[in-house]
Amino acid sequence: MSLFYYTFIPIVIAFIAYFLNKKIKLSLAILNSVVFAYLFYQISRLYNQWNIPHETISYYMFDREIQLIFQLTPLSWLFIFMTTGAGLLIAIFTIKSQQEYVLRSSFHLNFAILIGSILGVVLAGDFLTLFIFWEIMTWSSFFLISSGEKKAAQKASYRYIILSTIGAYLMVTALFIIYNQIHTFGYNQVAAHLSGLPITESIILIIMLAIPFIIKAGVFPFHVWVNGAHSNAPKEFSPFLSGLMLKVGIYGVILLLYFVPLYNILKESVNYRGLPIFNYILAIFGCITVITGTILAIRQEDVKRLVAFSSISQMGYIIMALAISTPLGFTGGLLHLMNHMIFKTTIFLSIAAVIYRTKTTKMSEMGGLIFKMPVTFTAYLIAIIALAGIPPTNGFISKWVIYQALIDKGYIFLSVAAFFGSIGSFMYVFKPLSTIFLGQLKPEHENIKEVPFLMQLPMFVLMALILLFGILPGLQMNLINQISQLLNIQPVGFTLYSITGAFGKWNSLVIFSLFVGGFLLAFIIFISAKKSKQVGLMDTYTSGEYMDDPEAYHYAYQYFRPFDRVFDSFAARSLTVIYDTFAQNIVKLGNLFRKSIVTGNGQTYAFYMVLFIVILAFAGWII
Amino acid sequence: MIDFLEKWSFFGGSVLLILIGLYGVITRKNLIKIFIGLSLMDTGINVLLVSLGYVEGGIAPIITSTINNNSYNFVDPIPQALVLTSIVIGVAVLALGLGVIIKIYEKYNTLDISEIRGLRW
Amino acid sequence: MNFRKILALITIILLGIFILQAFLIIPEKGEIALNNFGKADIENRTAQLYIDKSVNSTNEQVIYKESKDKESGSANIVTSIVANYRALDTLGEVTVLFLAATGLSAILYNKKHAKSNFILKEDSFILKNGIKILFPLLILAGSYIIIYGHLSPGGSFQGGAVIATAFLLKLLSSKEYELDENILKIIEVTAGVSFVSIGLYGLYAEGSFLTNFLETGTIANLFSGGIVPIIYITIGLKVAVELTNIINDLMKA
Repeated sequence: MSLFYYTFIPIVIAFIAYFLNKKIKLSLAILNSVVFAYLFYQISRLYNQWNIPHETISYYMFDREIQLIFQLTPLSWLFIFMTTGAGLLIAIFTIKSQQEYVLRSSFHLNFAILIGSILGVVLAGDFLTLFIFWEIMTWSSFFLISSGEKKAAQKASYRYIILSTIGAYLMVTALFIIYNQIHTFGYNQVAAHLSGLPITESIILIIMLAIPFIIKAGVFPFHVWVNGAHSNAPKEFSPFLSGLMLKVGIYGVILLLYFVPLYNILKESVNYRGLPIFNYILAIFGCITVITGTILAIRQEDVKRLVAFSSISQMGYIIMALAISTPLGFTGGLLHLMNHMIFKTTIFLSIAAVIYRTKTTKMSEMGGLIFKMPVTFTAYLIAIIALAGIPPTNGFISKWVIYQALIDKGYIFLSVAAFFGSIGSFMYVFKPLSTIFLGQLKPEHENIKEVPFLMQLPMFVLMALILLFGILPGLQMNLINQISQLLNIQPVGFTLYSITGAFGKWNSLVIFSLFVGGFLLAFIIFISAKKSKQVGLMDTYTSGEYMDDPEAYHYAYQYFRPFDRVFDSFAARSLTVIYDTFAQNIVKLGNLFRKSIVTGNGQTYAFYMVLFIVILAFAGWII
Repeated sequence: MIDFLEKWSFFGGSVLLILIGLYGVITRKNLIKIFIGLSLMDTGINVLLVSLGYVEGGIAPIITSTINNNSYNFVDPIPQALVLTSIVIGVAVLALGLGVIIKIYEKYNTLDISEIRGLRW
Repeated sequence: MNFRKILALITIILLGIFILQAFLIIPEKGEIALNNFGKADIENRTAQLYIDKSVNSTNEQVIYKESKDKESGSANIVTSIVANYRALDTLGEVTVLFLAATGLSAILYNKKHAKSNFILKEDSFILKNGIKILFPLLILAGSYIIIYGHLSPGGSFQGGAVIATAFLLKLLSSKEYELDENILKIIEVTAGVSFVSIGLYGLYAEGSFLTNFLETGTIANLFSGGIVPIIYITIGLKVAVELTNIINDLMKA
């Protein structure tokens, strides 16, 4: 199948189905699942066929030939594989979860367009093709975010689209400046041209090209859209937004840093410990992203916002690892990219399942769902173990590689931030665990059942993947080393179940055996020990006194208040506030202009006309 | 001197009428006064147009028992025909405007445009 | 005098200076326009063709009561322009007038059937009885002005205004006086349709809209000028009725 069709099949089928939907009652979710499954199958067959030639599709516009170029590399294969995989799982999840959602047909239309456009972005063989699909992606995701059920979704999507548009303008300006000089958009030609330019010019162009990707990845100065968009998007879209959309931004960063060998261009510029200053600044931004995301995630009371901030901080890890440009850093970044997609999708899906049953996202309104929704609980538990970086899950391995890379080059500040983010992630993932699943069950949630099987299925698959990649990281390393070869990066040594770092070797099989042994031991002790008395969740007492309100014991609101108090002033000065102040001042300026010049009074306008004629006469244009 | 004044009284005078009308339109707050300003501008333009077709010692272009097309100077008839049109349209517009003013007064109970805020923010 | 007014005054004075400056310069002739006042060069203007009644024919002398079958048979040259040479413009103008009258009726519609609130303390004896005498005279004068529009000064617009004045006086003189709007409408529609039909017949007979298709006769006879007097009468009726309508609407508002 031609590469071109991967992008167009989902879009075309979704459009046809959407317009037939009025006549024929068919479930777009099932249709999408089938389409994505087919694509997934086709894409998995593409593995190792890296010598597929470039494809060029020409069309004519205003007598000028415009080409769409597609190519397949190991890197783009990784992304299309992840995209269709996640799309398939989420489409399966939505079959049952969207029964009451009004906008579901437009959701599926936009979702299919989004999948197709992401495939287009990563399969693109030049910057123009990339830009076209990039814009389609931005708009379809904008519609998806704004179709969230909450009122705030519109404001959040507004913020998203404004930042994206700024990025797109910068990108298209840079591209056309380059095109004006070399008359091509090809990656290699652009890279060669950029290396030939004076250093300041090429740095400006590179920054203009990099900003849209950084915005999409949600890195520090532009992370403000992420939390609103993630928390207000439809609950089924949040997993994809966090798991894939942010990663597409990372794809762009990889493209610039490695594929267009930025490192070579910037080698002569200012260095810090052998690292070009641009890369170092990017790494510092990543480091700030980690700290900001972590601190803000701990404060949240809304579970989706919390996980959204967690996404921000994890993106910081990936950017940090990729920016330091060592083989270990690159490997760690890509590993964490894959693993984060897996476990963050799991977390969001389990939370979507909880929301599907409880109809709320406030953590303080939930509690004690562990016995009511055991599968969801297990999925969440395993995913947060991975997120917090505890073996034997995949999250540990990627974080381990990143730590190795940071410490190896001696970036103390970045390492401290990475450790801080790791400890912080323990805190923020424990909060929903404790407040949603543990504790006392709310009386109104007495009749809650586990979600239907079709919603459990994606969670099962993802849980299995978390453990599989935790035990056998070699499966991922195989692909990553192929990417490294493509990008002329020295591969990292590995076997199926071990990775060689800078300071030693990680053998996951040994650790996994230890864990299994430990679990078995604990289980034996548990069943052989004396049975304890089962106590009801509401059976609370204090020194023999009768309790009127047993709910009061469930400590779900302002969970980490003492910790938050330390960072209160930090949170008050968040970047969102700065951006908002900026926006308000622009509005004020506009109001000033409006009140003094655009008065709305016809006489004033008549005066302007007279004045205009007088000025024309003075300038000698009419008399 | 008289000659000079005669020239100015038509060209300069019509321009002055236009400017006075314009000043009224821009500065007056009363709607009726604004319309008077518009009407003045209208008149000024008519005077200017007619005076462009004036011939010294000329008479109205009508053929009578003592006057045929070669024996006397006629003034230019085309500006006159145009101004005839212009006057009638001026009257019509004035009447329409006054009707609107009546309605505005019924609605807002004032003719001061700074207090009529229906179309403003 | 506040700042706003001073600013407006300065701007307008500047504008005036520039407009008057335009009168002082005629670049291609090297003389100032002001001195051209009263020296309109009719000979070289289109107007001369209208005066000679020779846009399409030869240039001959036009003599009172003698010249026959000229291009346009009306002695009043302004009339021949308004109702013949540029009759299409006049049609447009009449349409504007009609639209204005209709628009006014539409704006003031909801008060249409109310009694006049034009404040008259009591019917003045002199006004009342004076108008009884004046009214037919004014109608007569207006009709004369319209009918003799192609021979003497005046024309349909002026005559129509006189007739409308007669009705204005009638309305002023008595609170009880009511105009029958249906008759007004019928007259107006008939006049407008006749104007257009004459034009269309010209299109049918002579090949272009509003062309003269009748004999033009001898200059300065009452029955001369081809379609000019007929068109002028229709315009006169239309203008009279529309102005009356406007006055009626404004007084009833």
